Amino acid sequence: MSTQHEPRADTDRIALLQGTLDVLILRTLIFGSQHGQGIAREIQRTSGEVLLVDHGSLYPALQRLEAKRWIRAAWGLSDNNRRARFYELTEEGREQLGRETDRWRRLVEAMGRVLGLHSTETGR
Amino acid sequence: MIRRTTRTDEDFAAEIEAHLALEADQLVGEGIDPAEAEAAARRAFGNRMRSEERFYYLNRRVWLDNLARSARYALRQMRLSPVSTATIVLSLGIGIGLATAIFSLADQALVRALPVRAPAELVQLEWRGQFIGSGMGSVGYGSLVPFPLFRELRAENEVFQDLFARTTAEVHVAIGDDTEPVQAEIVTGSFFATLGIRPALGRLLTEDDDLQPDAHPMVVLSHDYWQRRFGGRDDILGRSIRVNDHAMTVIGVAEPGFFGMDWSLAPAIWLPMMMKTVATPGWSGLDERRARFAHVYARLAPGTSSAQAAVALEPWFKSYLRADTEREGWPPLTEHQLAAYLASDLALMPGDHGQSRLAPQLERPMLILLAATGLILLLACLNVANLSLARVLMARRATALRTALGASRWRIACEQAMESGLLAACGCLAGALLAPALGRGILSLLPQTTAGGLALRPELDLRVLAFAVAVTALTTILAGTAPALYAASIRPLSALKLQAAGALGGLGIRKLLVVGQFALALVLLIGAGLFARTLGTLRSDGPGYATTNLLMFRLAPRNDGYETEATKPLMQRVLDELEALPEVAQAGIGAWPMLEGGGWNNPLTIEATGRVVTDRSIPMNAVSAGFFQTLGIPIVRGRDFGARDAWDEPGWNLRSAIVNEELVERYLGGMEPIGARLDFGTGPDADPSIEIVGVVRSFRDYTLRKPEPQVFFSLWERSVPQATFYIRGRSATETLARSLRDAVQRVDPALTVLSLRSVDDQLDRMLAGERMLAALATIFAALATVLAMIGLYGVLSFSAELRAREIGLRLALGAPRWSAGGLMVREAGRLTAAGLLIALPVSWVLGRLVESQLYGVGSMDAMIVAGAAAALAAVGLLAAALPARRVAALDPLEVLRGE
Repeated sequence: MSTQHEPRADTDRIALLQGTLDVLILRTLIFGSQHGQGIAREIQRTSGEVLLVDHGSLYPALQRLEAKRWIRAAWGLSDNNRRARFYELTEEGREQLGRETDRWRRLVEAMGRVLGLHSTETGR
Repeated sequence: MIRRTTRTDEDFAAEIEAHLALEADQLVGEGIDPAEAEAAARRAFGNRMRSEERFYYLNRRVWLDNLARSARYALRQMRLSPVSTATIVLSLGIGIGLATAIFSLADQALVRALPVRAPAELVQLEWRGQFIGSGMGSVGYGSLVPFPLFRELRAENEVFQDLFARTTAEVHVAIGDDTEPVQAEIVTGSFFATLGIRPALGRLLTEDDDLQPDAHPMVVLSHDYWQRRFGGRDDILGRSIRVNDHAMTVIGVAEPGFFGMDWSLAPAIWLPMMMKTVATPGWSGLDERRARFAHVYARLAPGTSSAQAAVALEPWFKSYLRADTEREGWPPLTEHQLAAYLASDLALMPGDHGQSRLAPQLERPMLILLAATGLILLLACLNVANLSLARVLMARRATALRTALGASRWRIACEQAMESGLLAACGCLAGALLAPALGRGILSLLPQTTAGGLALRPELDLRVLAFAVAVTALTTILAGTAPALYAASIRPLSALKLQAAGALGGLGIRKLLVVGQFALALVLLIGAGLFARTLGTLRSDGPGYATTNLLMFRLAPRNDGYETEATKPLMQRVLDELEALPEVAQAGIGAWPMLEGGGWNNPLTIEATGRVVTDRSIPMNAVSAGFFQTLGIPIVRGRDFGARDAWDEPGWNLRSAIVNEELVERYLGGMEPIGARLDFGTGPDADPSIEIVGVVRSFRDYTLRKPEPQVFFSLWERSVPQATFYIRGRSATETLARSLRDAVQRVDPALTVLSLRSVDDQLDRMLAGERMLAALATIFAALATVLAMIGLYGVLSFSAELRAREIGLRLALGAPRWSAGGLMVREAGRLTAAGLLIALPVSWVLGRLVESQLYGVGSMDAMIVAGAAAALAAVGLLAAALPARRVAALDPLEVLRGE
C-alpha cells in the first residue's frame, strides 16, 4: 500500500523525476518485460516511496522512453489473465541503461568525495 | 490530428484501465477489501485525467489542434443556420466581387504598365519649349515630334538601347466586299524588337520592312483582331487584304495581350512607317520638319537613368535645333521667338504606361467608383457583423456555459473570429466567381470610341486576387471584431438567467450597426439621385439644338481610294442626292463630326477694332451652307455661308468665317465682330485675313456642360478628305436611315458609310461615362437599401423577442394592440432618424468631392436629399411592419406564462 506524502509541487516533481525515473524504469525492465502497474510497484518498493508519489506520473516517462525506442511495448496477458500492455528493453535501451548507470555511479562517488561521506574525518 | 505516435487516445485509456485493474487485484491480494481496493487503486494512480491530457498533448502542436477544432466548430455553426450563412456569404460576395472587378479595371486603366519587356526602361520624348510649326499656331510643347527628328536621333544615337516612333490612324480594311473601319498603329521597324514582342503566328515587322517609302506592303494583325475577324485561322498568313484600298499582305500576328501603346485605342493592324501614305492618304509627313505627328519612345541603356540620358541627349538636341534654323524654308522669326525655340529641350517622360487619351478622363470616375464600392463593402461588413452578432446572441447560453466551465475569453473570441474568417473566405470565393461577370457589366457601360476598342479585360490575375484576399482580411477584421469581443464578454451569470438583461449589450451594438447601415444607404441614395439627375439634365438640355429626326453619318473617300481633288465634287454630289430625297427636310455637312469630345482646334489672332489673341485653342469646323439650318441654329448677326464661299482649286483658301456668340462675348467684348478678321496662330507674324461674315447662336459640342467659343469656316474653301453629313428628316426615322444609305450607294457603291446613327444616339455615347456612374450608383444604392432593411428587420425581430414580456404586460394591463405595434415602429423610426442625422454631414463632405461630376444640380440638392430620406423612412417602416404585426398579435397570457 502506498502512503501518501505531502504532495510536492508538480514542477519539483518533474525536475526530480525526469532523469531518475527514466533510469529506474530501464533498470526495472532488465529483469524481463513488465507492465506499467508492475513497474510502478517495483519502483515504489525499491526506492522506498521517495521517488514515486502517484502511478500516473510514470506514464509520461514510459511514453518518452518508447518514443526514443529504448523500450518497446505490446499488449499481452498478465499472470492472473488480465489484459495489460507489457514493456521490454531494446538493445539500445540496454546500452543506455549501462551508460546511465555508469554516470550515476560516477556522480555519486564524486558527490560523496566532495561531501566527505566516505572520509573518517567527520567521525560519523 | 497532428501527432507523431500512432497510439490512439483509446489505447492509452485502455492501458490505464488495465493498470487500475491490476493494482486493485494486487491490493486485494494484500488483504484490502475488494470494494475499497478499487478506490485505493485510483488514489494510487493519481489524477487520471491529467495523465490522459498529458498523453493527448504529447507530440501534438496544441495551437494547430485548437485551430482545427475551432474550424470544425465554426463550420458546424455555419451549417446550423443556412439562411443566415447564405445571406452573409452573398453580401460579402457581392461587395468583394464589385471591389475586385472595379480594382481590376482601374488597375489596367490607370496603374498597370504596358505588357512589354521591362517597361520601366521605356521613356517617351517630349518637346519642352517652343516648336515652330508651319504657319498653323505654335502652342509649342508636347509629346508629338517631327519625324526627321526621330530619324536623325536614331542614326546618331549613342544614348539609348534603341528607339521607335509611332502614330495612329483610322483606316478601312476590306476583305472581299466587306469593309470596316479599324484603328491602325503605324510604327517604325524597331517597334516590335524594342518592346520585346513575339509573334503568335508568322513574323513581326523588322528594320528591313521599313526602308523605302511605299515599298513594303505588309501588315501585322493584332491577336484580338485575328480572332475576331479571321476566326483565328492559320491560313491568314500570306493573305492579301485591302487597307484603304491598297493591297497589303498579312505577314504575322502579334502575341495575345499586346495592344500597342494605347489601351484606349487598341489597333487591329500595324503598318510600317514607310507605308504611312496608305493610312493617311495624301500626306506622309515623313520629311516634314514643320509638322509633327510622331510619338517617340526609347529604351534606356542598362544602368542608365532617364536623368542621365536626358543630360546626354542635350548637346545633340541643341545642335539639331541650330541646324534646323540654317535649313532652307526656315520661317522668319523675331529675336524673341528664335531664342525661345533654341531654348527648347527634350524631356524624357516615363514610358511604361504608353499613351492613353482616356486615362485622365476616367481617373475621376474610377476613383469615385472605388470609393462607392468601399462604401458598399463597409455596408456589407456592417450587415455581416449584425448577422454574426445575432448568432452570438442566439448562442449566448451555450457560450456562457462554456465560460463557466473554464473556456478562456481568448479562446471564445478566437473561435468567433475564426467563424468570421471562414465566412469571409467563402465570401471571397463567391466574390472571385462573380468578379468577371461584374467586370463585363461595368465594361459595357464605359465609353466606346468608334473604331478602336478598349483593351480592358474583365479578368482576374495574381495582383487582383491578392487585392481580393486583402479586402477579405479587412472585412474579416471589420465584421468579426464586434461579435468576437461581444462573445468574449458574455458573463455566465447574467446569460444563464432567462432575463433579457444579458443580451442588451449585444442588442445595443446591433442597433449601432443598423444606424451605420442606414447612414451609408442614405449617402449612396443621395449620390445615386445626384448622378441620375445629372445624366437626365445633360440629356434633356442636349447640345442646344433640337435632335428629333436628326441623323448623321460619315464618309472618308480618301480611305476608299479617291484622290484629293475628286473628294470635293463627290461630297457635293452626295449632298445633292440627299437633299433630293422626299423624306429629307434639310441636309448639311461638317468636316468634323460633332459631339465627339474633340476635333480640330487652334489658337487665333483676331483683328477687330483692336488686336486680340486667344489664350487657348478654339474649336473649329468647316461647314456647308445648309449646316446651321439643318441643326436649327439661328444666325443672329450677318449671314450664312453661300455659293460664293467656295474655292474650286485643290488646297485651302479660307476667306470667310462664322463665329459664335460665346467667342464674341469672351474675346471681342464690345468690338464689332462682322468684318473683323482672323488668322491662326498667336505669333506676331499672324496676319489676320479671314473675314468674319456672321455670328451664330452658341451651342455645345466638345462638352455638353458649357458652351465654348467656336469658329466655322466654309467647307468648300478647303479640301475635304472626309466629312460628316447631318440630315433632318421630315418625320420619324425608321426608313430614313435606309434611304440615306441607298442614296450614297447610288452616287458610288464603293463608298463606305460610317457611323450612321441618330444624333440622339451620339449624345448617348457621349454621355456614356455619366451613364455608367448613374447606373452603378443606383445599383449600389439599391443594394445598400436592401442590406439596411434586412439589418433593421433582424434587430427589430430580436428586440421584439426580448421585450415580449414587457409588451405582454402592457397588453394585459389594457394597452390597445396598435400601441404594441407602435413600439416597434417608434424604434424603427428612432434608428432611421439617427442614421439620417449621421448621413447628412457625411453626404455634404462627399458631395464636395464629386461636385466636378455634377451638372444642373447642387451637391446637397434639397429635393434629392428629401427624396432619399423619404425613401429610407419608407424602407424603415417596411422593415418594421412584420415585427410590429407579430408583436401586436401577442397573447399576453402565453407570454407571461412562458416565464
